[in-house]
Amino acid sequence: MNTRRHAPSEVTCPRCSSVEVPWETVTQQAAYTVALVGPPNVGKTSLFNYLTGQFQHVGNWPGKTVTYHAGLLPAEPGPVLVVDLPGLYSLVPLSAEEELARELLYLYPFDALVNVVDASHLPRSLYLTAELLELGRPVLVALNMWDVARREGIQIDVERMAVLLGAPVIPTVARSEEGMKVLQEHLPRWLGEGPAPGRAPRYPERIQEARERLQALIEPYLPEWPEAQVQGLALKLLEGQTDLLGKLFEPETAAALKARVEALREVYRRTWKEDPALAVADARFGWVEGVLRASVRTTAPTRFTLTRRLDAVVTHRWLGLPLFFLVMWLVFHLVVNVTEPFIGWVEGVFQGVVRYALLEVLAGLRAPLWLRSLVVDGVLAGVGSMLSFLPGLTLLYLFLAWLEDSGYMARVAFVMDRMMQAVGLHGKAFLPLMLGLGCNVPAVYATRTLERWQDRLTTALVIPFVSCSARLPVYLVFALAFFPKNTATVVWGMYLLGFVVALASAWVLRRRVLPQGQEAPFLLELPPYHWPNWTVIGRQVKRQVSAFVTQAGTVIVGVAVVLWFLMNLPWGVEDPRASWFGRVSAAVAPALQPLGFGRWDAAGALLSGFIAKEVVVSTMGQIYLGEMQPTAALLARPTGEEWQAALDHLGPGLLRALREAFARLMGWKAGVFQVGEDAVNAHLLAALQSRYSPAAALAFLVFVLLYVPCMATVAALQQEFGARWAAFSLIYQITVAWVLAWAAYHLALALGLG
Amino acid sequence: MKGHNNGEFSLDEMPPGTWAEVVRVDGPLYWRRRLYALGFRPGVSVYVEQTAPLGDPVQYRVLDTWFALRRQEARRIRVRHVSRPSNP
Ligand SMILES: Nc1nc2c(ncn2[C@@H]2O[C@H](COP(=O)(O)OP(=O)(O)OP(=O)(O)O)[C@@H](O)[C@H]2O)c(=O)[nH]1
Ligand SMILES: [Mg+2]
Repeated sequence: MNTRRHAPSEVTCPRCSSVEVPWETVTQQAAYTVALVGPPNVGKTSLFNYLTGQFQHVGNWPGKTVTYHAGLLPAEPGPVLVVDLPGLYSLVPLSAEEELARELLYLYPFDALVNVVDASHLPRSLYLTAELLELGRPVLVALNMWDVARREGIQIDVERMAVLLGAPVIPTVARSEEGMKVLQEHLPRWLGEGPAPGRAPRYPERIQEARERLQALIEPYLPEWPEAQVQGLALKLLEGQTDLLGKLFEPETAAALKARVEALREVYRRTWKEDPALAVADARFGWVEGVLRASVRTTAPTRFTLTRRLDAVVTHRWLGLPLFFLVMWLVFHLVVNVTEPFIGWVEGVFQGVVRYALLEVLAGLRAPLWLRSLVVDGVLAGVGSMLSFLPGLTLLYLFLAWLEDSGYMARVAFVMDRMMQAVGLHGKAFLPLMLGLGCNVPAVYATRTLERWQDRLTTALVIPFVSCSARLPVYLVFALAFFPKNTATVVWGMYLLGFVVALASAWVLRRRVLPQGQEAPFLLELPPYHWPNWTVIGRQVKRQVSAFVTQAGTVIVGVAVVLWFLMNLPWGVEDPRASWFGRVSAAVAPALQPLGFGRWDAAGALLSGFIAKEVVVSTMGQIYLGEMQPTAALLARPTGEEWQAALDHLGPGLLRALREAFARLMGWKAGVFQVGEDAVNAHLLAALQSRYSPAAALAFLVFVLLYVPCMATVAALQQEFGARWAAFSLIYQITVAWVLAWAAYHLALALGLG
Repeated sequence: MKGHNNGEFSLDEMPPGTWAEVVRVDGPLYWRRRLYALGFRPGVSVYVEQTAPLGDPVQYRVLDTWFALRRQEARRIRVRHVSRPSNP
């Protein structure tokens, strides 16, 4: 456990002690390096994506970017390396990701800072601008959200503002690309001219004097620094940011300087009768107001009326919570209903056309039987069963991206805060949990926005209980096999159970394992609603889908191949149960006996599921289909009739699936799934039905929901919180999974589902 | 609203739909500084929007931005009731 202190903000971040700059390799190709800096949610990442052609996470809630991304902007006179940073309300950090951004700003020699500000919220954005100008570096201001400012009747005199800031000011609309070309062309040209530092604000006399005294104190120690930068540091020290000394100097020097700085601060505190930090903050606001008076005019009397109207309902005292549950229920209902018709179709394509084509090729190559079995039973079965869930997952990603980009996500944190408070967490901690619905790994990193280390750790430890999209296929297959009339209910129940267990665990961890400590203050910005932008959403979905497909293409193929060998070793083994894989699985199986599924194949699927949950279904497919497809089928070439049937399946099958999905989407049809003739998946369903009782199936689902999500999540936990906590989470999850699966099994038996 | 010494309240006492002008912010320095940076500072008007389901937190509008604060935090912000905002 890392308990290094960053007084007084309660931030503990194991990686902040030394800056690592992973873009060092790229730097060599770049002529200039700039950082994108600005308050949270102003469009920094949107800008970054435009400039570098990347697809980083964009959404309408503060705190998405929690680490830095770097990308190259090819340009004349030289390529520019652009670094996207987490959002900062001010250069006085409160949370791990803000700390990260600040540290880079002080320690990395950026050639210039691109200050992204929200043109529709200037009174708030310019405070940070003042702090950035104080740093003594060249600054370029991108007035983003220019469209919103225009719509809300905010008129900005760009030229006047540029003069006041001593920095180029460029209006931009990062998501519709208006003004972006100008920025893209101006930035490299400006860098090439060797720009001067921005104009640091002039503050009242007493503050200037105090700053000069501190400057005199530190100057001798920083012979290399330009004067403007020393001035900036002196001002920060006056504000009490003495932890910066520890990052810049040897411990002894830092300690000595710190004592003298504190002594001086004390003197000013007494003579000014307020903390110098607040005096400086006041001075900055004076400056901000001056800039606003000189360059901004607002015409509309009331602004953001749409947001006001929507919030009157969405965050309403009585409507807020029911609305949230309704939205979530709807999302999963639609996802499940739309997914079902496609499962059979995609499976059909893989087991039909793709399989036949592979068999033809293999036959043409005169491939030996074992190779045919490996390709067809191993790889094809694994990839096919995974990809059949892609339509449903795409829809899930789409909904989540839509919720994020509209601005609803921040409202979720607001609405859920009271409940989270009851388990000792913040409403903000609910956002990583929501992200976990897509994938647990980024969710673990997303906890960085929480101010306190204990909150971060608690949240990260319970994230694995939130059902990620990779678990959906398992629920679907089992629900279709055992509860065909209630598929959506079973799936929805799993998601709900995941959340309940996560929150209950947080409550327990809070009380028993992690020191309670004082509550961190709660503060959450609720950004104005935007009409979600389809390009943004499309990119989000594309990013997640391609991650999933890559996963299917690498992990699943890899696991399938390894598994195939383990199932066929010792070489030539007939009964998979006698194979190495079977023997190991059978050794684990007794531990699962009390849960109702003490079978070697269940144990085997769960074992391979440690690597990734997607693998559970594909492993089962491999075990059962391998048993069902006689070797003869691998040797024979597909007949003309078989080819015909497989080809027929392509077009008409897809049409049928589309029609069905559409009907369900529109609610014409109840979600009763017919295991149609084109659902080759029926093999798997039948295999499951003959092996499990409904009660055991339910217990299996509960176990899959709650045990370790995947290696990548464990690795993320290890990276963020250390090996001990990662190990703790592993043991904790398996224990919880076992106990609750046991309970589910016995409850189901009592209800007569035996 | 109960009357207090010279018309001062804490922000959490203000009912939804009212304007309040910040008089003073209490609490640890790092927290005061953060609230200042976001606009909760003396002389600035805050509009109380509405209470979250289950009574906490509360949604406020300050300088055209919406923030949610828990009552516990809002309690540390001393305000004066005003009928109209002094700043837009
Ligand atoms: N209307 C409008 N919306 C924008 C503009 N630029 C970005 N957005 C939207 O604003 C939201 C925030 O954009 P991001 O790029 O994620 O912001 P960020 O500054 O990186 O946010 P954090 O990483 O959370 O600090 C998204 O919903 C964007 O689609 C713009 O110029 N106009
Ligand atoms: Mg970002």
